[in-house]
Amino acid sequence: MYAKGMKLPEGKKCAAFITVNLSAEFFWLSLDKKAADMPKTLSLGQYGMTHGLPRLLDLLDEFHIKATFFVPGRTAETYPEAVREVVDRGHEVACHGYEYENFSLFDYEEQQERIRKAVEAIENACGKKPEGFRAPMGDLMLETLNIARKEGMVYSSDLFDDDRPYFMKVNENGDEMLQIPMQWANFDLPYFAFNYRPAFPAGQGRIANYSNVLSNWKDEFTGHYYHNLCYTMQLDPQTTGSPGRTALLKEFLQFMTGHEGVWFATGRELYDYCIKNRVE
Amino acid sequence: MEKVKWPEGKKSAVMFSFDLDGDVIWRNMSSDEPNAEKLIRARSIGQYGPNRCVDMILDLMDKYGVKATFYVPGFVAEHNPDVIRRIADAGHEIGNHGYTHERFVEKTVEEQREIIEKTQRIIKEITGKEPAGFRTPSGDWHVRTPYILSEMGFSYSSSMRGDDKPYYTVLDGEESDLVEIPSKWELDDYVAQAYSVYPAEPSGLDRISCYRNVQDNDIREFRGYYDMGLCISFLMHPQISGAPGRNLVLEEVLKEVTSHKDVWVATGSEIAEYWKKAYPRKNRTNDENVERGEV
Repeated sequence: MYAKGMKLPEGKKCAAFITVNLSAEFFWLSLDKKAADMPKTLSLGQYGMTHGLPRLLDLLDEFHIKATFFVPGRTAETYPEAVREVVDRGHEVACHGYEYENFSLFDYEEQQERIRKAVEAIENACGKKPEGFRAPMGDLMLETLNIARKEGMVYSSDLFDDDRPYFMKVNENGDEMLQIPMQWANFDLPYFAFNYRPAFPAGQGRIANYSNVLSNWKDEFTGHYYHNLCYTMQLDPQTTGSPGRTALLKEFLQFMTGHEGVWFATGRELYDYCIKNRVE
Repeated sequence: MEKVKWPEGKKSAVMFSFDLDGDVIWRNMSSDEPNAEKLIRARSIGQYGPNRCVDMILDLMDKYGVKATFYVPGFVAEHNPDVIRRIADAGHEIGNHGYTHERFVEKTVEEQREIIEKTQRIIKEITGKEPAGFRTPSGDWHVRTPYILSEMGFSYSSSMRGDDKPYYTVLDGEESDLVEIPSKWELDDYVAQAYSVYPAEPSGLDRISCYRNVQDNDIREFRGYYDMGLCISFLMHPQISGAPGRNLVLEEVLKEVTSHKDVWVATGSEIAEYWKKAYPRKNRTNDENVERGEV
């Protein structure tokens, strides 16, 4: 065998890192600032916070899953009670930029300012500093992660280069963060988000067939389970939160929890485990 | 149309090929973005190939007893020599795929020659063997590219789209010794499944395809080639088909192909060499016939 799985707690077959991106209306504003004057477009994102999130929280409770919520600073400022509730219900809150911005467009100082503002907004909303980071849509640089580390974050989930968490050097001094990689195929938003103007997707591809999406999620989970890897899922309640998709997600969570030995872990739990069980 | 004869009376031929592009396509796509040299996310999509997916594919190839052909840009080989060695040591063929996945149609003849030679040198240094096959990277090759390949002594290319079986590349109006083993866009897993929001892949940002729908297409094409007795070249990419879930699709395709005992699964070089013996080109000189011991 050439392919190697990850080290896992005794008796576990795979890790499942269930993450939620609360991009809200800031996803649409990141596509076009003019959306600030487009209430219909904004309502797509707002729906995620007002309708999608409560459904998602109930679903996670039903399956006893603790998730990791990546929250943009602006979301924390706009919906502090929602963010507080996420924490009160036992989930982890991490930083998802300030206004769902593309960090690769900024110089070091501007990135630093934005991450600081986001950390402050999250702490104000829920009384806790984020310990994890995920750069929003767009690209990022090593220095982006170095800033996140300096602002107190110990793990980050941004890249696509592995299917196991690994320690990543984020500066020349060799300081590290745990990188928990992900996959596009296990993210609901690219399959389901749709709007004419600002356009998403740019080429206006049809909304994906729900059963086909479930089939992909199951295939990736099966592959990760079989090879003892870390299945990272990204959900955004503005897309997962519709009644039909909530049912779809429920079916998927039933499928996952129907497997023995799935280790559902938050970012901080993965970090704590990986730091104690380092493999070089 | 006359049926193609395959070795040992086999009914059709199959080539599993993998373009190990690593991060070069993603680097090229982001090259005009701000801070291009410092971006890490887009590249990470491609780095997944050599980092993780090659091993997943090597396991599957072993499980089904299949030897595949990996076309590698020199840049990717330079950065992942251990991966290239592992592929070669497992008995698979390594082919030349440009240096940084260049569009040959945009290069001068001299530049093209340098790119191809550089990659030949890099791969030879790692595996001890110069590739005999070439696959043109993204987009078209230059009208002179096949002449360069022929002069450099390449046995074959797998670059074109216009046939379902091998043929001799015509140079200056005559068949040359450069065999072409064409593939198709519909057999390309990158076309079917590559995805990224930023930079956008596909450029219009369509949806992520359903794996099992892709599997259905692949198996239908295979059955079509099988029934007609042709040569199918699956054109895959480790970063796509080596992911844990998409790997299941590749496994189903392998299962289907290897369930037919009368299918010849071969590498690019094996197919090209067979073709030259079974179907000698029309205008072979007498010297060439002597060289081949056929006179």
